[in-house]
Amino acid sequence: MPIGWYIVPYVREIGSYLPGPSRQCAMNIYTDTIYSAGGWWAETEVLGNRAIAKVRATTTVLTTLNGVAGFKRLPKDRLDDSLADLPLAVKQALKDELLDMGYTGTEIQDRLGEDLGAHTLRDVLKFMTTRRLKPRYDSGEDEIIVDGAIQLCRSVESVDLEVVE
Amino acid sequence: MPFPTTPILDNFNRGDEGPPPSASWTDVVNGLEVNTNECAGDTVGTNRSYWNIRTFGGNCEGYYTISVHDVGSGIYARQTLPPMDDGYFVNASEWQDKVMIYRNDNGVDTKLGADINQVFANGDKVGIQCIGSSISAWFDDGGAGWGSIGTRTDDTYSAAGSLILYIEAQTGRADDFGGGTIRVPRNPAAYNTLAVY
Repeated sequence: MPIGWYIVPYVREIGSYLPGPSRQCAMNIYTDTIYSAGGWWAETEVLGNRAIAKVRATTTVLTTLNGVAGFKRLPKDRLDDSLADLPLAVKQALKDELLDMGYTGTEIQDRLGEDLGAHTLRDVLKFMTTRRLKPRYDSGEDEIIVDGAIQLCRSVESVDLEVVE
Repeated sequence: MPFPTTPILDNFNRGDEGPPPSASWTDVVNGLEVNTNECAGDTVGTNRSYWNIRTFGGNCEGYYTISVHDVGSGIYARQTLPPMDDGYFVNASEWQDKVMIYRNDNGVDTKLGADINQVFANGDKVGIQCIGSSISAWFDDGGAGWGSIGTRTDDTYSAAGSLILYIEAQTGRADDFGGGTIRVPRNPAAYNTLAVY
């Protein structure tokens, strides 16, 4: 069954009857769709209130996910796929995503160099999982803000192992 | 690992009391109470109390029986108390027929992975098991016994913490709350390898 890697946002859960304010990986909205197709998904939360999610599903379902606002399908499907053949615009979009997550240009340069084409998907995803931040709740604004202490990310290898083809 | 491996801590078989249900509990949000030999929520909102005798973990488990099925309930483990408010919990969203596993950060709940479809009935049991970075939801519908219905991987919080039980609103009931520290057995294969040398 086909697989795909996505960068997806965290979204607020509304009406959950939970004790406190809650958030979820937006991929969960499509859990029933994915499961109904015999698929599976797993995620690791990363910097910038986002998650890297790996999905196993039918081509039809993956196409649906590709079109969801806020979901970004990564250009390769396997961790050891080289990024060498990616167009410059695609590689730049990946770099822009890293910057938008909250990594600095210096961090990106130091870890990944000038050309992402010299790397694999694994290299970029491992960089994305360098850190995430602890969330908090602003009751005045009724907003979950992710700007606290640095926390560890689940490894991409762990996600990759959980979602087998 | 089998589940559970620890005893019932409170069967609530006593006169109406609380909140909290006894001196072994401390209220966190509103509170729980004993009502007709079962545990009930004190308010129409969230009712949360923790077992204050001791903390459990890092590897630990907690469980309870949904004696009267209503809006929702759940159990926290490895939970630090406010103002830190960090840990993990299994939410039995009884009104949605779903179980979810959450990480709690500063009182903000982050769902780990996908919702788990689960129909509820009076007498069902719900549990949480934390072993290393594996956070599992367990369920027993009184038929085949306990079974793990979902596991998530998260290693943010590994230290010992409190077990907290919560019940939404006043109609639902819980019973036979239990849990404790899990003793994970040593790897027999590794032990035998050492014995060779």
